[in-house]
Formats: sequence, structure tokens, C-alpha cells
Amino acid sequence: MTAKKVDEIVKVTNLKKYFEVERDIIQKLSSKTKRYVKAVDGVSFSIKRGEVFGLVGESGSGKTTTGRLIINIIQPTEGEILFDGIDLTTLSKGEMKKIRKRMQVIFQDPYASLNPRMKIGKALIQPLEIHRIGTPGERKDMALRLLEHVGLTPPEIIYTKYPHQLSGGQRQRVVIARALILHPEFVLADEPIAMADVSMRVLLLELMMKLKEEFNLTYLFITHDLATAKYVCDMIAIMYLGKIVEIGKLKDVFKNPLHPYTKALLSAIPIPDPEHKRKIEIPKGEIPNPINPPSGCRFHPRCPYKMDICEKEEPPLKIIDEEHSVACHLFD
Amino acid sequence: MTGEKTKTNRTKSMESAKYEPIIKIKDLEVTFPIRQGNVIALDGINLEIYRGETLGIVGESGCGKSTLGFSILNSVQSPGKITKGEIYFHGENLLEKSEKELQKIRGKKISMIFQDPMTSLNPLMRIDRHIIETIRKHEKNVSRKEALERAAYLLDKLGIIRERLFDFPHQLSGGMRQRVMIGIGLALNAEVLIADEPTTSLDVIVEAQFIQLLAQLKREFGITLILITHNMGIVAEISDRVAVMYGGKIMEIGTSDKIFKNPLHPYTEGLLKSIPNILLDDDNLEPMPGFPPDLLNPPEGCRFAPRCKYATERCFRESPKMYRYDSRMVSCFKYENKDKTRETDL
Repeated sequence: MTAKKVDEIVKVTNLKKYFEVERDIIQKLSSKTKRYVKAVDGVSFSIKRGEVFGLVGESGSGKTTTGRLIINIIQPTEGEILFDGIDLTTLSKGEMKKIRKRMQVIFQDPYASLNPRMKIGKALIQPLEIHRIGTPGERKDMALRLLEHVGLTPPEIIYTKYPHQLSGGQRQRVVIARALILHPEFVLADEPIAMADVSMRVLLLELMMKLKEEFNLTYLFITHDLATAKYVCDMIAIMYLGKIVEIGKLKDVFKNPLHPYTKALLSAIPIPDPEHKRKIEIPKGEIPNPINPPSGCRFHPRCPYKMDICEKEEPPLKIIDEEHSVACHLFD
Repeated sequence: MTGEKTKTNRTKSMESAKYEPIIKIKDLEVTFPIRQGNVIALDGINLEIYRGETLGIVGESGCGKSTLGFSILNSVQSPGKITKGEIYFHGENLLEKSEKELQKIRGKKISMIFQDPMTSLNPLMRIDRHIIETIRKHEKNVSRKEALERAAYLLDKLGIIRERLFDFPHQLSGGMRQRVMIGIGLALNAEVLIADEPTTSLDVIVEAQFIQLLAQLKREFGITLILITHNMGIVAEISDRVAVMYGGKIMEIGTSDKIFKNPLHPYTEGLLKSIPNILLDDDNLEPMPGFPPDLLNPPEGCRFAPRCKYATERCFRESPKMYRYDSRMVSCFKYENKDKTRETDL
């Protein structure tokens, strides 16, 4: 990173989100105690201004819930979320609205993110209307300029189209443009390219990186795909069952993965080379039920290096190297 | 094309000559009539699938790869119709068979698994019943007990313990459900397994387990596997040969070694350049410009021409045939004059 104002735009401390499991009438009457899915269970990290922070994990790891907590569309069970030094958990609705302008989101599904009955132009200027920015003429100008910026040309034509008249890749560009129209500082991108075709993905990633420079953005990039993360992220955190198991600079984590789970994830990625042979054995089994996570280290039932202590004690995140931490008893 | 010629061509193109075609597709065309007109989903597909091989069919969404899978079972989803062509299985044209005859082949001889196993399993039926009923539907003289034993044996091979046989589908994880689907296919000793994006709904680690399992099953049961996917990494891992599809046509077909090392078709080349390889320190990804073709109004000439950096004026006018080059078939004018044998109709 070039010499930018280095400060933490997002800082979360001991973040937790438990979802109550719905009980049927019999369970309620038999006064069975409430059960919870511990989707996020004590996560701490910070995101520096101007960086791309990757949150990587399999389904059920809690990466999406963490993202939603940070942009405050769901409330945490416990923990603190600082956005530019402001604690989001204590804000009133009015105060939150002002902050919301500064943080935007790009979701995975460009079909679900756009109202099918709303023309592209209207979808783009709506955030400006909500935040009372500009005159109608100015709003249209801003929208047209942004459409051109994200490579949707001619903008005047796209402006008058409905979402179904665009291809998936074009739609995702509209979603990106809409996220940027308020000139946010922070963008949560939750699997932004997962639905796009293989040949479209690199273009979308390159567009996002170009816009990052032009708009001075900070991204929280959520993905299940380490190969995508490798292409865009500066920092990366690996999540497993609601916890961060390893965090560090992307280069360090890829060159020198410490946690057995990170190693497994890296070795599981299919390599587009027929001569490639896997080096590490793939762990058996699947991600366990988050209602009843394993005791101690949550990865221990699948871990090839399991020791006695792993069943009993939960390993804390331990700093191994500058900015590279791991939660594993192998490094005690 | 005569059988004689096919044979000589094949021995030239195939590195191991022990393969024989189990499925042969000739000049297949599938049309989806929709309100706005006819979408030609598959346009002149010629393909031979050899016994015991793993053929990867790759392409992006809308390229027709799934439709091709369904065509082999002669069960293209409505309103789609096979409008031209022949599909031979063991020398018999499946398109001339009655629905009743086809039912004997579907599932029993050729089995298909899909992206989302939950939609293929009845949520109200326990796993054991799925397998037992499938076996008994096709093999009338097998007792329930024998069928159950066979189901338990197969699931054990697939890494699912006997107790899980009596679970309902929702009680199993995605990876397990997908293994059950394979189990149903294997229970009938299917010769051909068509797997349509079988790992897309699975997580990376489970995906890797599943691919290893597929490879192991191939060795044990000698099944012919047709793997339809957009994931080039998976194809590289287990395919013997690869067919690359684009806009309803096959662009290139050959052994995976050749295709991954030295892609001939500009689309294959572009596709391989646009996927990150996690092992490389600095992979120079090169994005592919433009968008996939609109099959309602396909571009004239080569379907890939509007996105192709080598396209000449002719590519926009004329559609290239399949040319033979470097033990492969490729549909691009670049190889027209390099084709030492002849223009083939393969």
C-alpha cells in the first residue's frame, strides 16, 4: 500500500451473533431450553483505510453474518463495532442514516438486488433521493456518468432499461454503480462475482479494483473462493464455524499457511493443470452443526494433527509474526 | 462419415486406442421455441464418448452443456426439442426409441446426477427407500432384503455408514446427498454417469472429497463419466478428454493434457487466461472482453468472433468447421490450412 492516511476504518471487538433456533410447540411446552446457532462467536479484527480485507470461509462459517453486522443491518448479540471510531451499536436511527451513506454493499445476486419493475436509472438515483442529494437534473447526470464509469455504454440507453433487459454481468455492474453513487468510503462486497460467468469474473474484479482507486474505497471482500481472494485482497481472515482461525497479510497466509484448516482449504482448490497432484490429504467430514459446535478447537474432529488438548481447550488467536495470527494449539 | 474412417481417425487422435465409443452423437440440434423466436441451444454437435473415459464438458452458462447432458437421455426439458441429429448408445439410436424403451435405459444404463441433490430426492422418503425402489423398479426379481444389502454396501463404499440409510434427505449434508445420488446410479450398475455441475453446491473441501471419490469409483466400477461443469480446475483434475462449448457449439475437443497446456481455440485460450491459478505467484490474468452471445440472435459466422482478438472479417461472415490439428478437433479458421488430413465433418 502506498502511504495513505493509515487508520482503522472498521474495528470489531469480540463480535458475537447468536440466532435463536425456532422450537416447535412441543419443545416449547416441554420447556426445553432455548438453543442458539452461534453464527459469529467472538470475532475481532480491524480494517485499515484503503485496503481490501478478505473474509474467507465455507458456507456456515459466519462470514456473511459478520459482514451484515458491520454494516449494521443486523444487531450483534455482543461486542463492539467501530466505524471510523464511532460505535455503531449505540447509534440512533437518525445517526445511523448519516453513517449508512458512507458504507454501501454489493450482494452476490444481481437478479435479487435490483427491483425488476424499476428502470436502471431510477434504481441509481433512488439513493440520491433518499439522502436528498442534488436536483433531479444533477442526479441524472451523476447516474449517467457513473454508468459510463462502470463500462455500461451508451449510458443514456442503459438508463432507460429494465433489469431483465440486461445480462447478468451488466446487472452486476449496475449494482456496483448503485453502491458507489453516494460516494461511500467503505463497501461490503459479499461474493460479488460468485454468480458471474467465468469469463466475466476477471473483468468485474478489475472494475472493482479500478473503482477502489478512483473512489478511495475500502473493501470488505467476502468470498468462499481463495483464488478470488488471492487476486484482490491485501489482508485475509479465514473463518471456521463462527471463529477466525487465521488472519494475516494475504501473501503470508498463502506462502506460509499455519492453521491446518487453512492448509486444507488451500490444497482443496482445484488447479487448472492436469499434471498437478495434491500434496495434502483432504480432511474427512464436513463442517459440523453450528448449534452444537465441537468442544475445544472447533476444527479438531477433522484435523489431521489433533492432540489431546484440542478437544478440551479452545485455542486463542496468537500472534506468530507481525500481523499474522493463528488460533491453533500447535503453536502454543 | 463411415465407420471405417472414424476408426482410423480415432486411433490417430486418441492416445490410448483401447477406448471404444459407447455414445455417439451426430449433428445434434436442440431448439427452444420461446415467445420471441427460436433459441438454438445446441447447433450441430458431433461427439463420441469412449467406454471408460472421463469426458469433461466445459463452458459458461447458456453454452448448452447441460442441454447436451439431457439430450443424451433424450429428455430435454420442455419447451426444448431435439430438432435434428442422432444419438447412438451401443449402436442404437436413442431418438428412435419409445418412452418405455428409454425408461429402461435411463437410470439403469445411463444415470444422471445434478447440481442440487435435494431436488432429485423425495423429501418424504428415507434414503433406503430411494435406492431399494430404484433397484426393484428395474430388476423385478430382487427381494427387498437383497436390495437393502446392495444399498448398504454401495453407501459404505461411498463413505456413508449404514445407520444413515434410514435418514431422510434433509438430515444429510449436501455432500452426502450427492453421494446418495451416485449410489442410486451405481446400484443399477449404470455404464454411463452424467454429472451436471455435481459440486457447484458443495464447499471446496467437500468438493475435493467428492472429486477424489469420483476418481476412485471410476477405477473400481469402470464407469464412463461425463462431467459437465464450468470449473476448469475440476476438469483438469479428473478428465481424460475435454470438450469446450460456447454458444451452443463445440469449440475444441481433445485430451486434457493438450487442451490445458496448449489451448488452440481463442475461446479456450481466453477462458484459461481468465481463471486464477492459486499456485502461481503472479498469474497474469487477462479478462475476456464482451458478453456471451444471445442465442436468440446468434452472431453470424463464428459465435466467438465478437469477443475474439484474432477475428478476421471472414470470421464474422462464415462459420468455421471442425478442423483436425495436433490430435484435436478445433472450430477455428486459424487451423484450417494447418489441417493436414482434410476438412472433417466430425
